Amino acid sequence: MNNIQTNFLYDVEFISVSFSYQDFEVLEDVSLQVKKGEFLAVIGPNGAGKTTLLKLILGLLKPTIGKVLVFGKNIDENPSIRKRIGYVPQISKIDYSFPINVEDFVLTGRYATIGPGHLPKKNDRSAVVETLEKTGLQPLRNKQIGKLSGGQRQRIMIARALINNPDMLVLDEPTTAVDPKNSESLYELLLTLHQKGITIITVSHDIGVIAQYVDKIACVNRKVFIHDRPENGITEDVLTDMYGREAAFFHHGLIPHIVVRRSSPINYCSGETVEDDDNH
Amino acid sequence: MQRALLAGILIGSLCAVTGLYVVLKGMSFMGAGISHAAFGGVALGFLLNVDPVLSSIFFCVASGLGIAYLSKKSHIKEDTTIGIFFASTMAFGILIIGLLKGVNIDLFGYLFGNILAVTPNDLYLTLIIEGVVFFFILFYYKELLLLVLDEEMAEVSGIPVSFVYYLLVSLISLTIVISIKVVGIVLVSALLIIPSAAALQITNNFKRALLTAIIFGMVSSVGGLILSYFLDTPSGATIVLFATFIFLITSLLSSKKKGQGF
Repeated sequence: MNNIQTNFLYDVEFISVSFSYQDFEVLEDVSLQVKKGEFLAVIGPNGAGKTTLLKLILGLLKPTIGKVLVFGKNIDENPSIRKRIGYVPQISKIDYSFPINVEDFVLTGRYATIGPGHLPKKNDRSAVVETLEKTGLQPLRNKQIGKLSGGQRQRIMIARALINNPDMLVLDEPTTAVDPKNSESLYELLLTLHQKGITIITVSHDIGVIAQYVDKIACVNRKVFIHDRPENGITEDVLTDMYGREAAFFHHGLIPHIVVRRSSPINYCSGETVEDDDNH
Repeated sequence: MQRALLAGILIGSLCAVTGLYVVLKGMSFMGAGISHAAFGGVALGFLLNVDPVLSSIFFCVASGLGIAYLSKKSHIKEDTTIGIFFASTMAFGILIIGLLKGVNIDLFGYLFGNILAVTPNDLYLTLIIEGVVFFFILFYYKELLLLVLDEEMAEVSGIPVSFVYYLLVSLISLTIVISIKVVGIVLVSALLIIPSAAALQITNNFKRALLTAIIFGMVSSVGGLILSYFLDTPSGATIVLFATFIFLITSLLSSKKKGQGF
């Protein structure tokens, strides 16, 4: 762990954050706190602002109003924070015909810390070996990334994010295009990391599965609502009650726009994977 | 002829190296746009009575950076931006050449290349540019690779993405300008793309792709040049067709290899 400084309350804190894309308000007055070591799932319909939320955490976007603090600091003013965050983008973001093998791909996670004009050193190489072992990718290390299955592609993304021993892992729909069996082993891996004290924030569509692993769930639809994980296990009823059909939206109360703004809430409620289109 | 061969080797390797980034980042239309901007640069050189190569360097780098900046910052799509630059810089050149009546300009040479017209000064300039481009590509090797592989990840991990991107566009622009004497404005983007595309057919490793592309680039320009000498054909076109021939062979090889895999 690189976690030296501990005099902050939350690993991630949104203080009355709004974000607008041109004239369109994507997130409105969001306040959110993620404690150290917490496992948070971010769910919500397509175009609801989930990806925007992640990009604000990662410093790829700046809030229109409000403040985003990561490890108690503003990421723009403290670029050294970046290497304490491991980011796992959607696996569809990459061109898999790229001429690179698993080992070198994972090493790219350290490129920023090695710096321009320098070659990877011994400890960079050994970090790769260690990370490959941790993620079970050692046997595939010489394979070109295009020759991997969906589950394996997901794993190299996670391995790349883990190579700097981050204090926090941020994942964008890690199980899209991954079959159920591999999704489960992926969540098991996340759970192991969570038990080691790493803070995990993941956008997810399969809420039925994710709910049994996480501590908190953030429902995003322009506004953000936080739910604790129900204590007495997740049954179909609980899920339907919490997120299902119209019930979910009455549950959220105040904001009827949640129901009608997009046509997808039904899909999202039943946990089906839907192509995400909120990439702004 | 000796000078032409040397120019061919230099240009062939230079185009191959920057070309690999062009191919992997999907910037080939930008390459075509920048090369056509060179026409405006050449005309400007004649108008201002400076070396057309020098004026094109400034004109092309400025156009390349302009395209890159506008596609990032404005809401106009990148290919639309390129389309506008492509045509307007060319029109600008034609307009100026129209105004310069009576000046004898080897338009055909600029459009389609004439490697035999390469002067010692051109050769020195090529050598300098090649040195500059190779230096930056080696120095920012990791940063450029990650930019091309996964730009978002590069940004998240703290690499100065905008700087590296503009640097890449500048290097591509320099490569294009200096190659125009050899293969011409119309054909330069082919020399940029084809050797790298061929190399990518037969290798799965970035470094090996770079080396293979360099070899293909040099073989194409030297082979094409020798062929054009004996067949008495235009050098630029012969070089490009030679490269295309290599690409066809590598495609056949790779489909055969993939065929065996099943």
